Amino acid sequence: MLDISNLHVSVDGKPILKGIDLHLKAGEVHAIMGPNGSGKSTLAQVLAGHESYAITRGSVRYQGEDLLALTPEDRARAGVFLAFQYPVEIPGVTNIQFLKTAVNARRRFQGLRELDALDFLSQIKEKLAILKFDDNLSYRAVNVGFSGGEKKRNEILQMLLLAPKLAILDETDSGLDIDALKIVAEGVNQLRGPEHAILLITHYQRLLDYIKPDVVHVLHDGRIVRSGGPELAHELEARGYGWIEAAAGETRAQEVAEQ
Amino acid sequence: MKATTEFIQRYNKVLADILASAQPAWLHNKRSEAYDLFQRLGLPTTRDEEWKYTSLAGIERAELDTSTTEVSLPALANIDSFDCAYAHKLVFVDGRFNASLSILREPQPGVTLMPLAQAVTLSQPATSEFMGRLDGNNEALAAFNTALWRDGLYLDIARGARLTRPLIIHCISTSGRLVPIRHLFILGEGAQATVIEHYQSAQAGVHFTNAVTECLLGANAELNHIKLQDENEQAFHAARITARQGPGSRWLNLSLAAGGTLTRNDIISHLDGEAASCTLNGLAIGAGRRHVDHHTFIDHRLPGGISRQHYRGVLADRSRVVFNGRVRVGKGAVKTDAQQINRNLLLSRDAEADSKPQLEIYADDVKCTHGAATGGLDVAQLFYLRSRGIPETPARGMLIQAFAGTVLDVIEDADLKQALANWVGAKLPQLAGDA
Repeated sequence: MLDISNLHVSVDGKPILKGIDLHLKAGEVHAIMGPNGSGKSTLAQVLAGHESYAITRGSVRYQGEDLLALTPEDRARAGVFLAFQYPVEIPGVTNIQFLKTAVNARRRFQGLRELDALDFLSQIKEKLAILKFDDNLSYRAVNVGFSGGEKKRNEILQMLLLAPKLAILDETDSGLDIDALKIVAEGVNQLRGPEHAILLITHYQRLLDYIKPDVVHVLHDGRIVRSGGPELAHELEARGYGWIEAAAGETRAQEVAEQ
Repeated sequence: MKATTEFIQRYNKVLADILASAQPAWLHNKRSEAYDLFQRLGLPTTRDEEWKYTSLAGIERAELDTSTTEVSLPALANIDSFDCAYAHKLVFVDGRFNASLSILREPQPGVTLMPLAQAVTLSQPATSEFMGRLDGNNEALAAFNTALWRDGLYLDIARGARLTRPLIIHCISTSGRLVPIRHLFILGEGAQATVIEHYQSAQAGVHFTNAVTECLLGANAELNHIKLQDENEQAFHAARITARQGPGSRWLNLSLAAGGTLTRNDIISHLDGEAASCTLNGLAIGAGRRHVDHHTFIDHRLPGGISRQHYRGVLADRSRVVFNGRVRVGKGAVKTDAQQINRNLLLSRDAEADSKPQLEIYADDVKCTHGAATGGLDVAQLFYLRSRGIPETPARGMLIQAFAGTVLDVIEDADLKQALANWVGAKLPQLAGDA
């Protein structure tokens, strides 16, 4: 579903991603872990189409198509979704209006009938229950005055409503207490299935107790330095990122020596 | 100066006609005095500090038709671009009351409502007592109006009476006309009303609407006062709205300007009683070469007054939006709480927003704040919406509407607020496409 090959990305001339290779198939859940500043969020933003990043080398194909050639809205309508690490506040736009507009934009793209307010309310009801989302928040401005946990649940609510083929979750677990984490994990597990692929970006192993990944990648200094099964996450949790950094340093020294 | 003289000459005959018509002596005198004053003052120029950003040169040059023949256009009945549940609907065409287009429902106890010309003829005492006095009448365009007005709305609400649903006044100007229109609203102690003034054009073509509205609010009276400006792209519009507020009274003035080539709104509140409050909100929607100037003056004279101002501008193309907000806190006005906010959303590099707060504080123990900001659309918000599959143009539209809609938050009546949001919403889509 998603094929990232030798992706190099810079911000203001400074290289952040230095050759990412990642292949994600439908039905799979991959986790990307790594210390702060390793490039995790950059990767997420680039996949969603944020314009302040320069792609200097490499390619990203989504369902065989060049993802990087698409506008953010076309990516979204083709089934790519990013749950933001820092959800954006939009004063003056109610959450329900925002959700309905997003869902109808997708439906229009799929050639489906747009939902009216009543249809939409009945559709959203079940999702709100899963996420224990306070109904009042629907009538407040998007993310304005929401707690950290409410903002993250709002991201997952959008994800469930849009049912993306590829969901990228950027540190959705950060700042959540254990109850909120469980709710968010349950939301993500709702989406999991043979048609959907999920990319979990996280700093901590904790989330992976509730959403079991098929593959774990470790990102360090703009490169994936190690990939493995779920046990890799536990190893990281036990030994910290220092171990990986040392190993990455050795690998690079070796590469240099081989050249 | 020469142009002004010509301008004045042009209207001498109009004045003569009006003075020759039947009217009480007090009005005849008032008109003559006002015209003398107007001749002395002349039209304001940009050398005048109060008119620094707004030039009336276009009005001076416009050859306006001052004849008073009534036009009857079949199209007039279909130009209700603003609609909501209302108590009464009054239509004025070229400043004259049009009974056939108006809808007057069951009279309500304590509510007197009639064309101002009729109120004068029937010797309603408030007309001679207050006309031209509430405003002070020392400003050129107000004097012009006092001299030349033909009609408008007279509304008198007795002590404790309420107008339960909004009263709508549609003021329609036809091409080529000079339209001096004048309204007088008198609210007794504890009286309540919502009045909507809606200005529009019957068709394309230059015209000049010169409106004056005077309001008197008795103790604890409450007036929600909304003005919609929706005239055509060539129209000139200069309006002056003044309220004198008794103790504990509340005046809400919401001015939504989305039409005309030049619009000037002077909005003035005299907080003459203790603990009186006013909320002045406004929105200027700038497109093409439109120029919109909101000029406010709040005079805090007694203790405990509260004033809130929130003006916003959305500027596309080569439009220009001015906000000049003057607040005076007199010596006796201790415990005054005055707040002023001006925000502009620039959608084009060629647009210009001017913001000028003027605070004059002569009392101690007061709280006065002001803030102004001008900027473009928020890039992070735009990306967030697009990342959810909302295409760029509608996403921009949502953000523009959200920005503009904020000024409507002061409207408590949910149905009215929705009607106003729809009206504003209909003016905005063409702006979203601009880079």
